[in-house]
Amino acid sequence: MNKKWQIKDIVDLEYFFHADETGGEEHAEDRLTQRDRDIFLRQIRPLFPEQVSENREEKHMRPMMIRSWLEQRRHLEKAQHGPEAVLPGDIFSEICRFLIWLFFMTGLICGGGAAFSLLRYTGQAPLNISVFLGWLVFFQIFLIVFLLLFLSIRALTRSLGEKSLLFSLLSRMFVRMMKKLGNRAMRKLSGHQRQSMEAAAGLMRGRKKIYGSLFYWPIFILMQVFGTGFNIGVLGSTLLKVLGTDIAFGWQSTVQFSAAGVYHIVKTLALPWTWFVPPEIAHPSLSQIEGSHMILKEGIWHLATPDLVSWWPFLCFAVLFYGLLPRLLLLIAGIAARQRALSRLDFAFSECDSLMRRMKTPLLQTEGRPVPSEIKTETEQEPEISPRADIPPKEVQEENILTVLIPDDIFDDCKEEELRERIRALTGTDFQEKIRIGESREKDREAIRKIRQMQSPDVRADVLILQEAWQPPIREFLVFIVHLRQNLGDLSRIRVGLIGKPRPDTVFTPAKEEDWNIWQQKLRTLGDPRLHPERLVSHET
Amino acid sequence: MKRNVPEFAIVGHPNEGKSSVVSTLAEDDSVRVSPTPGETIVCQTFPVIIDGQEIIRFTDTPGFQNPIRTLEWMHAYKGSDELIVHVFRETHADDPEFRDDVELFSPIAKGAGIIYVVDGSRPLRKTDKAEMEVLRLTGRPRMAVINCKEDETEYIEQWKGEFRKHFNSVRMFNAHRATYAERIELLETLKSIDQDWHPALVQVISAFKKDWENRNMQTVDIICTMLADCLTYSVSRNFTEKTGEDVLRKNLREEYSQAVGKMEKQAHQRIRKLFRHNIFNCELPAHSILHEDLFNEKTWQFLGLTRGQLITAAGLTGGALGAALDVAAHGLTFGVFTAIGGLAGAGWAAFGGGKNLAKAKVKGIHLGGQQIRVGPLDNIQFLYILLDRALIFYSHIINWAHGRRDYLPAPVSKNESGKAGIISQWDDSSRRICTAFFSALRSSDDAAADRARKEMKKMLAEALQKISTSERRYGLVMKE
Repeated sequence: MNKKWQIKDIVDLEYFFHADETGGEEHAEDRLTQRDRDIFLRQIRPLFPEQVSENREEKHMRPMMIRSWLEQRRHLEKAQHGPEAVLPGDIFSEICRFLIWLFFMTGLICGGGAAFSLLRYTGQAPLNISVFLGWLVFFQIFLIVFLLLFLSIRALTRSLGEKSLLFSLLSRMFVRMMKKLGNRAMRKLSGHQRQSMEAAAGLMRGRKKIYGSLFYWPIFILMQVFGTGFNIGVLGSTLLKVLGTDIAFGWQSTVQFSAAGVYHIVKTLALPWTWFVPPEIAHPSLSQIEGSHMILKEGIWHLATPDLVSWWPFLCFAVLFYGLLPRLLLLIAGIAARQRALSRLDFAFSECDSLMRRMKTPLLQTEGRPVPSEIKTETEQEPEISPRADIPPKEVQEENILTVLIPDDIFDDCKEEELRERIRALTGTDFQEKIRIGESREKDREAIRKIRQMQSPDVRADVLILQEAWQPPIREFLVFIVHLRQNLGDLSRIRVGLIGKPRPDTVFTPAKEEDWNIWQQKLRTLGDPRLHPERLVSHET
Repeated sequence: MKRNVPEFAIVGHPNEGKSSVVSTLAEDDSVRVSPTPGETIVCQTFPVIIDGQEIIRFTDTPGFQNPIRTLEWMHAYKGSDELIVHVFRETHADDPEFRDDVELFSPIAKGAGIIYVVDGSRPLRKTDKAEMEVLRLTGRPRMAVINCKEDETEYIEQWKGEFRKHFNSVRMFNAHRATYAERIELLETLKSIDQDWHPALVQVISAFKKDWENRNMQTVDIICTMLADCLTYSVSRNFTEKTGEDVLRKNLREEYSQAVGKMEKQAHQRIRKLFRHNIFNCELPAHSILHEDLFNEKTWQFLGLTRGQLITAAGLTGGALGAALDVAAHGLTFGVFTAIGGLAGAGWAAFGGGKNLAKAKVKGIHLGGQQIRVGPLDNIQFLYILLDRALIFYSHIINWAHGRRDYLPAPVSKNESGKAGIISQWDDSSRRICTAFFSALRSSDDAAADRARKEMKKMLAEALQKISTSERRYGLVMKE
């Protein structure tokens, strides 16, 4: 798994990023998260079993992971829209291929045409080689020097390229073509997809700060392809002309150059190829140069044909070495620079950050659900625990005795005096006895028996249970009350004296209102008319 | 597969805050938290599913209803220790009085670890001791969590002393702390109760942390986009003699503030959704400054930077005094005039205060009349206000587990600087980043804007993480 990035991949990446824009819609975002995490777990992690751990993200892994993600997205897209689905990246490479041919052919034709017209020979006078050299060699050298200068300035300032007129013109043309060519394919697409397509097309202009010079290089390469075609055209048509027609070359100058001076220039120009081409072919000799010197006033009759034709190999070599080869080198350099720009992409912009985050963040679900209980409870309602008594209460007996039941937890902190006072204030009577409860169930049963024994036909045993209201009324306590009622009969009054949280000095503090309400509700569920909650301490005290 | 999933049963006396602990652990606001004891009558599980696989599970259980009777039964039990819970459940399966107890033992019977929750602000009672003893007799790994429902701390030592006899570890549950921080701490403590569960918990903690980080980053994105949208927004209209410039100006201002307010609200809603308020309609704390409108006087009074800080902020950009005056002078409209004017007093007037926040500008001749424009607001304080409000909103949202309960924090009055927000406590370097972000919004330098945005995001991510672990409640002001 080490696929190289290509520009068409970047185009597709942008397309998918745009398609993934949700505008913050929650479900859409969840869907993306789900999808990308899924892609990561199923497709990406298995590819990098050792390197990709959940907790580590190495910088160099990111391009590869995003590349794999892109591959998966393409598969998904094809699966969704059928194999004929067209992605902008495909359109991009198609256009690139087409443009390369177009530029090459145009260059070829231009070069061929230029050479043909420059080599038009009527036989009246030899062709002036300086015209040919000037247009087809020196001008090209000038262009290349200019380009190199431009590139080096650009490398220094980094910004010139982005503002280059040529670049922006060409890129605009590129985008327009892309849209036009893509239009047919796009007709089938949904509106959002079409937008994404356009966004991807607009990327060459809009995303320079992210991709830097990346989109400069295709244009650069195209230019070099044109140059290459041009020079091949020049060479081809020159050779054709030389082979198919007879052409005489000569040189002339108003300035009185000596033939030796011209020879020197020619020899210098021919340096790149003299080392492997025999000197008689590589460039005309001094005598041949002298022999092809035209002075129109003196006529051309004295010029010898071998001297006049000795120029053509030199001209061809000049085009080859000063036109074609530099262009080929620049073409290769352009391709290399494009690759370098691609390999340098760190994919650190925000969409990639989000994507990596989506891929690397484990999906968390923590939604609650009820456990199916194995042991069936027949009803969801409170199980019924109601006192036995259906007998209507008889007349209130004259005499009654009050017993106070105090939980073990607070028994020792409960000062007798204060208790008496509180109870007197509440009931108007004094209590007979206080009993500790809650030590054990056995002792509680004993306590109930004891109270029952106090009862007689004339004497009714009433009970006040001291209870901390902040303790929720649990079933155990309610069951205790039910037992009490069953043992005392229906006439006894059972009070639950509620108190609040103990203070260091006293246990008698007012119960909180919400606790009071809870107790009141809960006790009512017992359906016992002689069972009452009581505030042992009112809020005022 | 299912058998291997570690399960933690959250058990305890009724109404001790079990459900609060569960909802914090599982980050699920569907847990019914009610002040009425016995609200939970069946177990509810909260599986933690990572990448489609259940890793651990929390189970909320009903409270003990018969601790003493259960303990007595267990003491009388003669069979094998491992089966004690099973036999208890079988024996009491048909007894309606033991319905809750039978139910609460069901996860424990399946091998769940025990998280015993108590309210540490109340005294220890016999029933509690019985419950602890019952849990000890189950033989399952267990930890105790002290959840103080009220501010009393005098009983805590008593509880801790008792817990040491029965539990592998004890932890205080801090309801005032941010949900996230508390969750991570609780999970960390859980690691200590049984080594076998260590790997699963490590995985869960890491997933929770990542998930949180991820949500923070998304929040940062939302905030940055909202800031850029609000700060660059403007409305313009053509007007002719007939339309009347003043009326149009007023209408435009109205339109402008409504549109910006809407952008802000939408961003807040998106943040809210990130933090899973699906079921519970999360309400802002009663004292939150966010109850005030964006362009309300109070908002501008309590949030953003102080005037001194603003001038420093302007100085930071290199604009020195000129910029300071500029920043200060644009500080008002929509009634903010009086607020800040009152605040700054005479000094304010010296700065020539009185110009509008969003200046309505006559933009030039347009075909068919002149054009008038309101916005974008070029007052950096506006950025701080928006930012403060977003951060405060975030801090409310991540504290949802407590916001809806009766843990009402005392509203803090504004701090020494006169501000109740977060921003006014930031240091110079953070403010410098804000300033750079603010000016980058207006510049055409793409690279600088990108850099400024990156810096801003980084800083905000840190700020959110800080809020996530902070105990402070932000943006609460005393009602007058």
